Amino acid sequence: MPLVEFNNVCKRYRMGEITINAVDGISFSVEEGEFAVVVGASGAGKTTVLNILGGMDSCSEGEILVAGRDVGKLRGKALIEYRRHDIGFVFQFYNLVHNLTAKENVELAAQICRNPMDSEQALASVGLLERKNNFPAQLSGGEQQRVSIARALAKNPRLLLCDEPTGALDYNTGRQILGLLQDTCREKKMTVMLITHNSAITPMADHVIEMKSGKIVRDNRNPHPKSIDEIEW
Amino acid sequence: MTGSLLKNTFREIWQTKARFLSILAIIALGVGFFTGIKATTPSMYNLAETYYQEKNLMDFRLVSTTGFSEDDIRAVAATDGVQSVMPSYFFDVMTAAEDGGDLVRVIAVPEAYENNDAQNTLVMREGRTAEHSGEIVTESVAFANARHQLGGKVRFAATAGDTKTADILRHTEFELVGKAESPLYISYQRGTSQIGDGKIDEYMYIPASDFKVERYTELYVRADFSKELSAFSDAYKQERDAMQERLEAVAKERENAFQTEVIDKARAELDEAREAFEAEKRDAQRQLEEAQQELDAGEQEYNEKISAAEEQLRDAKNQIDSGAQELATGENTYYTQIGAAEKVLKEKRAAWQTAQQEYEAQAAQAQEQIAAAQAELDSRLDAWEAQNAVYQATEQAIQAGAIELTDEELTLHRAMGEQLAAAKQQLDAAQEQLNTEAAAGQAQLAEAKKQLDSGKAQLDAAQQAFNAQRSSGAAQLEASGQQLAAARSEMESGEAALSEQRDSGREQLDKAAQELADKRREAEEKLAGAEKELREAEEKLADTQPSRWYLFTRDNNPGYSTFTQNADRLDAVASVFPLFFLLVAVLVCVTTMTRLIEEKRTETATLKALGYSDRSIILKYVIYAMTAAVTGSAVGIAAGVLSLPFIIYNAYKIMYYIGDISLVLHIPSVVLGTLAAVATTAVVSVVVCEKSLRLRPAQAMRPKAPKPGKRILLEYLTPLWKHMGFTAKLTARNLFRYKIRMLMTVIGVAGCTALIVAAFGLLNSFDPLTDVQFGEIYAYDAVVVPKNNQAAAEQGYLTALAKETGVAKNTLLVSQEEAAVRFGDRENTDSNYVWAVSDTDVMQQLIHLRTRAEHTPLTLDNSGVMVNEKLAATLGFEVGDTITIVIGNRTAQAKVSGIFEQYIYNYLYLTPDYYREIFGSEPTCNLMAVQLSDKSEECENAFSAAMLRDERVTAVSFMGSSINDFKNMLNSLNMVVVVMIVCAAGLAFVVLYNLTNINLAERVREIATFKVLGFYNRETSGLLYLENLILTLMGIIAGLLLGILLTGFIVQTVEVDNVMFGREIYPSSFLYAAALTMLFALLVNALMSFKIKAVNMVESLKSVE
Repeated sequence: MPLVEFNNVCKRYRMGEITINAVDGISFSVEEGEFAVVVGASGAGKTTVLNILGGMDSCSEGEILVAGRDVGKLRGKALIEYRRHDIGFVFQFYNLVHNLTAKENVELAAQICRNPMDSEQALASVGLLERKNNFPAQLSGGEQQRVSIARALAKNPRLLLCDEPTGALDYNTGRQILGLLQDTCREKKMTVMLITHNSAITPMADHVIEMKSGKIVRDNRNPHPKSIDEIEW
Repeated sequence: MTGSLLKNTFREIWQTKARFLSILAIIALGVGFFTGIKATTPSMYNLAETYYQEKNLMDFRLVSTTGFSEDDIRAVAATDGVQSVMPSYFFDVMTAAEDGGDLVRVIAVPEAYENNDAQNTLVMREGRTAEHSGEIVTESVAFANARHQLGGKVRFAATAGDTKTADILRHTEFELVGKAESPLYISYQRGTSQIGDGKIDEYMYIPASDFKVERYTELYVRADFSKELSAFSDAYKQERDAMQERLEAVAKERENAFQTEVIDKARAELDEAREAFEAEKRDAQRQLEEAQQELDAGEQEYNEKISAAEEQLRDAKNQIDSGAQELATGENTYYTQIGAAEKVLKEKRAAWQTAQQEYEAQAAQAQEQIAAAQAELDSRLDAWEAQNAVYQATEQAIQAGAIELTDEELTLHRAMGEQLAAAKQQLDAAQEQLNTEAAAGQAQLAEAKKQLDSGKAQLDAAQQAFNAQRSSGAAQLEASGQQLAAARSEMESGEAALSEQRDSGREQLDKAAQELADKRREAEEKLAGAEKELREAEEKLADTQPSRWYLFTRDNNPGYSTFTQNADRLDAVASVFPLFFLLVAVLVCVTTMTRLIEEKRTETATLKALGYSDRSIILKYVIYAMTAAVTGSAVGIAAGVLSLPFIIYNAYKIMYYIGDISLVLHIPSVVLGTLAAVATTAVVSVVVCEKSLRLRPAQAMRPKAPKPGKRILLEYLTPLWKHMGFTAKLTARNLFRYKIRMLMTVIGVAGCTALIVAAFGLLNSFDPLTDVQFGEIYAYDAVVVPKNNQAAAEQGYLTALAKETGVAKNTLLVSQEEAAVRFGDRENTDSNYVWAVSDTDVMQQLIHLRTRAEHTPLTLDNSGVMVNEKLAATLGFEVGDTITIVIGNRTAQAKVSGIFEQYIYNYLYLTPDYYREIFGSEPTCNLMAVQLSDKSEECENAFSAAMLRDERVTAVSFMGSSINDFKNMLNSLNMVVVVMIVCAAGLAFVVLYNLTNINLAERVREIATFKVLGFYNRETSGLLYLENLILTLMGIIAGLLLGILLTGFIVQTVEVDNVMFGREIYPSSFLYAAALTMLFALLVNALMSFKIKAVNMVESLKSVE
């Protein structure tokens, strides 16, 4: 049984007279421990898919099963708890709390879940233990993103959702981050779902979903995913 | 500035309504408060001015010790600048004891005089004015109002001080026909009097014709300038002072005129009268002397005449006496002789009587003997007859032959017959002899009788002779007796005539003497009367002080000057609050504009890149800010000016009766307030805008780097920091991250708390007026006012009376006088009472003298005077200083020996000894403070009923009613407190809402992050709340401290001269202030939690454009 299953999910926005189908009846599934990449151009609807899956947005139609539970139907506190215990988020712009140090940012997430990872361990796993007492402003973009990943990992989520994690990073740093995510997936058997507009990185994924105008145009599994080091773009 | 930029500006406003409104609101609050209070003062001035003009209030009031004549009035009217003069009457009386014994100033109803308009016209509140004799109008204001009922009666006591009420007023009982306000009394103060306890309780108006006084007692003068000049302007004061000098000159002139026209004239007249009197007296005395002489002569003549007559009578009497003596001797002789003759006669008669008796005895004896012999004879005869009868019978029988007799028996019978015949013979002989003997005896007796009869005839002849002799002697005696009696009666009639003469003469003389005495008395009486009249006239003349005029201005009217003082005080308050609000407004404006401009950073950069000048970009924000400022000012001015003057004046209306306020805009304050608001907001927006415009467009186009996190001091306390949660850590760092915001919140919240503390503190400050003053300081329950003001020693009956009631526990005789007190160059003339207490020990029971702060008991002794705290504070003296006390025309220097806690009026306590020492005179006791055995109404009633029964007691009043008076007065100040709390709430809302709103906008990404991480709404909002709460707490603490200062300031500014408000703020007030502020903060938080819930994660976390 797949961990994540989308069945005919639609997301429509009404903008005055016009209805925009951001997500237009898509179906796919992601297995546990998979490194899935959703790829597509700007406005293809990939972020909407991730937001709906992450419990940050609701769908208009269809069902989203996560471990057999329809999270599309969750509301209020149940939805918050779903985010709290099952989801880890990594954003393009890191969204760290500027007033907290690296370690505190990790702890911020760790303190609210049932079975958190030790924050220092989480930081160590992203290789930033020595910078734990630095404020975000004192860290580079890649470092900040690593803190952000450590923050997501510290929650021990079922699903790690990454929205263009490398979008604001330079090439090398981006590679490092992607490597980190791939390693995490492999080593921790963490299901990772990553959104990117950069199709060049798809070879590293176990599962590639390509979207275009709210629809899935390609959904294939990669029997031999490559390591990030093997990929150039 | 292009049209599209302008459009953009107004859209901006629409999109940021909350922020715009918060700037608007804080400016409205500040400006509204400022202009509202500032408008109150001119409104109050205007009110007073209009009122004075409408009621034609006098500019000067003249009172003279001798009253005023028509000449005086003409002289005053002729003074340069005098527009009109209105003469009037006033008289201080007491109401009847059963009506309360209040001290009342009775004034004549204002009337037009000749061509002059009436001044100080009354404002009728109920009923109508007093038009007819016997009608009265009472005051419709103050506490006196409730005492009288329309249609009821007002009765005055028979005496008012030394004067009889009936000598001054035509009636002592009046019918109440109306209630009115007098413009002379705009406050609750009624001024002072010479009678009673010296404190006038109320005023009343009666028709002028009901005054019996000849000369007017007061003159009201209105000046020409009064119509044109504002009563409060300096020009008025200058004109008034100048006019006062002119009037004083007239007064001097008229005082002299009184001396020559009245006093000197009266003295001359009096001297003349005295001379005439002396002449008359001499005349009368001479007449009386003559009459006396005449009387004496008459008396002498009378005495001589009487004694001559008496002599004559005495002679006659002597003669009569000797005649009487002779007569007595003659009588004596006569009676002796007669007696002797009578005696002889008597003897002879006795002898004859003896003979007579002898004869009668012999006769009786003879008769007896004869009778005895006869009887024996008769009995022998009888016996014979019987034998004879038997014999005869036998004989007959024999003869008849009835019987046959034996011879013997016949012999015997014959013998018997013979014997019987013999016996018969014998008997007849004896009878014969007896008859002879009897005849002889009878003859003898007849002889004796013959002798006796001749003796009797002799005796009778002697008797006759004696009788003749006796009667002739008696006749002789009687004749001489008659002669004597005639002489005596003659003398007696002479005597009677004399006594009659004497009586009538005496009577005449007495009558004459009486007449003379009457005449003398009459003359004496007449003279004494004349003398008394003269003496009285002389005394009166001696008493007639040279006329002394007193000139009063409006400032002397009770309450006139304090009204403006109070209005001025408001100005002081008006200057502090708005400053504070303005400060908060600046802070709100700074933070809001900063945020706004930062948010529009990209837009600003774009505009700049498009080629808009810095000026037009700045202008956009200046317009934004100024729109808020101008509308805020407009709203604030409208709300403030339309509400505050009325609310505040309502509180003043407790003390002033001067009609209702009408709005007067204070243009300078409106302009100033608006300018301040507009200028500050404009400057703030320019400054903030400048800062972001300094950046190059490219730089500005990128989002502003978030303010870096910083370690705070707290973090170096590692153990503590480690134990803090994220919320706490985050909050701690955030607090110090945005310092202006923190400052704004703390100041705003502190202001809110301080305002509430001040509001409740103000309420607290009223408490001592009733609770402490009447509950802790005053232990006496009643005040008794006697009719006479005498030294304490002579008022002992009051104490005795009180003891008799049985409900009085302690009594204290007091001399109360109103005084002016001076220290250095400051003076206080309002409600200062000097109390000389007769007994300091009792005083300690009745008045608890103590310091306010430590409640240290103070004891009154001869070392100085005790003064209350308020007076000490007003005049600025301390214990040990020497103050000047002025009572009437007596001035004394007194050492301050203690300063005590007192809230209502100013009191100076001293001992009679010290009083004598400093004033050199004896205090006169004019009231008695009494502590009752309990405070129940029955007890009070019993006491007052018992005391008022004595006619020496004028009034009994109870402290209980005073408490209620004050409580009612203070209750209406509650509205001010409500206004303050509403303002405080407004301040708290604006500041906290604004802060939280900006905080939220600035940290919306952070909040979204928390949400994504799975923080519950509660946890998310908790992060913001904690910050707010900590800031609120800081604000509250600062506010409590600030509140103490603010309360002190407000209380001292608001309190009037003659009361002291409490200085203590109760812990409960702090608690209320803190709790209310916290409540406001929580309300704002609750409002914000909806906003936090509504934060959209997807939108907020969208990559920065």
